[in-house]
Amino acid sequence: MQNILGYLKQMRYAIMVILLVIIASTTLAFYNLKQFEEFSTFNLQREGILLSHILSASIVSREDLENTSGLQARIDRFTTSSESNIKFIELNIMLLEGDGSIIVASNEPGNIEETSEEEHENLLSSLKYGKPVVFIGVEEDNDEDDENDAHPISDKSASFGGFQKEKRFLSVTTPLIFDGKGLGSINTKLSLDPVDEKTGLIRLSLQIATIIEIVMVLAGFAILVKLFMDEKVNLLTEESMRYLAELKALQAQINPHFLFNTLNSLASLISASPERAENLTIEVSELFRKILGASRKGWWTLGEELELIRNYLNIESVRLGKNLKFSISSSQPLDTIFIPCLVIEPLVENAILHGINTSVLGGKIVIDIKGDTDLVVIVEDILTIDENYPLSEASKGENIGIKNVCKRLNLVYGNAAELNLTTHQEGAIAVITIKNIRSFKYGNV
Amino acid sequence: MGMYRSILVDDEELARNRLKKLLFQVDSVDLIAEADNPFTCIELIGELNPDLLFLDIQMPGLNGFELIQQIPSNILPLIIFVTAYDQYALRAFESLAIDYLLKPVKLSQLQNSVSKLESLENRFLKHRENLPTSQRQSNPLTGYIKRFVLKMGKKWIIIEEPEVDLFFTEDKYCYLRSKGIDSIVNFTLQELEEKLDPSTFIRVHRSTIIAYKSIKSFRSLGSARFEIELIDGYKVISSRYYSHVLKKYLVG
Repeated sequence: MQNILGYLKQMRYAIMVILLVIIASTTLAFYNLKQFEEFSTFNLQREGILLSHILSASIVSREDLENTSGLQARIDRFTTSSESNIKFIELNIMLLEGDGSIIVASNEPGNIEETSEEEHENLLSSLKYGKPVVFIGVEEDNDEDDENDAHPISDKSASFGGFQKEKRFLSVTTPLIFDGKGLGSINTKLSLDPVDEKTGLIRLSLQIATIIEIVMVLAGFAILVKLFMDEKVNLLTEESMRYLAELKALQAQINPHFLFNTLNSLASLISASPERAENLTIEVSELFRKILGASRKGWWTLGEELELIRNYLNIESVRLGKNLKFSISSSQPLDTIFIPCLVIEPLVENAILHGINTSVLGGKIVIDIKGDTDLVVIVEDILTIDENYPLSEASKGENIGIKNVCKRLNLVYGNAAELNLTTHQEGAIAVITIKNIRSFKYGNV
Repeated sequence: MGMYRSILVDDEELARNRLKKLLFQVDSVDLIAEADNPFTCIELIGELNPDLLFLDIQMPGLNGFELIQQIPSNILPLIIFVTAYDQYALRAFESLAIDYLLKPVKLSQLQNSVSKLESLENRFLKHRENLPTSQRQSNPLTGYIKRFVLKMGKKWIIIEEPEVDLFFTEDKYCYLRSKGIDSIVNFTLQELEEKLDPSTFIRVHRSTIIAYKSIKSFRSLGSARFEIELIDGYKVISSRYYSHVLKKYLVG
C-alpha cells in the first residue's frame, strides 16, 4: 500500500502531462475550426468591400449609369470571373428614382425591378453617410419555397425532415455619388459559408487532431512506464518545467514590436553595413541570454541589471539612430547590491515607448542610481522638441510594465519600496526608492 | 501598364533604406519621395498627389491611421501598410488598404502586393487617369475624425475635436475656428459633414457647420429659419434646407 502511494506520488507529473496533452489537442481541434471560420469571414469581408468599391470606381460617369446593357455586361464579367473565389449570392446596381428605386442590372436578371426592403434601407443609409454599409447576416435557406423547379432533387434534400439550414451572408452597399448627388448604389451579397472542399479540410483537421491525441496519450503512457522503471520521473519533470518557465519568461519579456523592428534593422544592415549587422546580432544574443538567466536566478546584482539595460538601449539606438541618446550612472556599488531581476528595465522600455517614440526628434534617457542607505533609481526621459511638430497623443492606460514593477516591488519589499512616475510636457521621470536596501536578504522573490 | 508614383513614410532610417532597396527592384513602382515623419508625408501627398503610399503605423506625432484621416478623399492614394507586428491587420483592412506587409518585408511579398494592385486595375480600373478623383477611392472606414492636423506657417498643430467651435467657408477656403483663432483646413464642408460625429456637430448652412456645445442662443426668423448666436458672439442664420435637424435638436 505504502509503495503504491509512493509510486502514484512520483507519477503525478506524468499524469498531469497526459491530461495537458488531451486538453491541448482538443483545444487545437476546436481552435482550427474557429480560426478557419474567422479567416474566411475576414477574407471575404475584405474582398467584398474591395470589389464593390472597385466596381463603383469602374463606373466613370453619370452617363455610364444610363447604359443599362453596359452595366449588365460589367456585372456578368464580375460574377463569372474565374480568378475570384467569391460566391456571389447577389450583385446588382440600384438607381434611386423619385420616391422608389429600381435595379438596373443584376447577376440574376429575374431580380430586376424588384427590390427588398432591406436593400432599400441599406441604399438610403449608404447614401446618407456617403460610405459603404457592411453587415453580416443570417437567412434561412428557403429552397422549398422556390418557384424554380429546375432542381427538384436539391429542393427535396434541403427540406428533408423539415430541417432548415441557415446561410450566413455578407452584404456590402456602396453609394454612387456624382457631383455630390447620390444616384443609387452597388449591392453585393456574398455567401460566408465555406465551400465544400474547405468543409472537407476542417473535417480532415479534426480527424488528424484526434489521431494525434490518441498517439500522444499512448506515447505518454509508454514514457511514463519507461521512466517509472528507470526512476527518472522527478528528474525529467524538474528539468522540463524549468525549461518551460524560461521560455515563458523570454516570451513575456520580449515585446513583439521590439523583436520584429530589430530584425528589420538587421535585414537592412546586412548588406549596407555588415559590421554593424554583426554588432547588432551580438547585442541581441547577449540581451536574450541575460533575460533567460534572469528567469533562472530571480535575483541579481545592480550591475547585471544595468548591463542588460545598456544592451537594450544599444539595440534601440541602432533603430532610432540620433533620435536616442542615453546615459547610465551610479553612485552605488554595482557588485554588492542585489535586486530582483528586471525590475528597472521595464521603466526604461516605458520611457522609450511613451517618451522617445512620441517626438519626431526623439530625446535622451538618463538613468541615475543614487542614495546612501536607501537605493534610489531614477529613469528620466527628456524629449527633444521641435516646436514645428506636435508630440503623439499621450497613450493612457498602457503602462502595464510599470504596474508589474509596482506589484513586484510590493511583493518583495512591502512598504519599504515605492515607485513614483511623474509626466510633464517634455518627458517623464520615474523614481524607485527602496529603504535601507542592505537590510534585505535576497533569495525569495 | 503605367508606373505607380509612390511615396513611403517611416520614421526609422534603416527601415526606409530597406524598403527603398526592395522597391527599386519592383518594376511598376516609381518611388518619387520619402518622408521621415507623418507631417512631411501629409505635405508631400498634397504637393505630389501620388498613386500609392507605403505607410508605417507606429510613428511619432501621428500614427498611420490618424494620418489617413487627415487626407482629403480626392487625393487619398492607395495604401499598403508596412508594419512590424500584426495587431493592426483588421483595422488596416477596414480602412480599405490594398495590403498589409510585415517587417522585415520579403521582396516576393512586396511584388505580390503590387501585382495584386495591377491585376485589380487590369480587371476593373482600366482608365485610372480618366476617373474623376472622387471615384478613385471612397472614404476609408476609420470612424469619425477626432483630431485635426493643421499647418500654420512652418508649425504643425493638432486641434482636438472638443476644442473646435465651428467650420465655415469663405473665399473658397474652409476654416476651423478654435479658441477664437481661424485656421484653414484642407477638407470641404461636405467631406467634413461625413467625417464629423453627427452627435457633436451640425450643419446649419451651406457654408457653416457648428458644434452643439458652442451654441448660445436661437432666435426664430420665421419660415423655418433661425438666427443662431455662438458663445463667442459669432452669428449665423440657418438655411431652411437644414432646419429639420435643428428643430429635432431644439425639441430635444
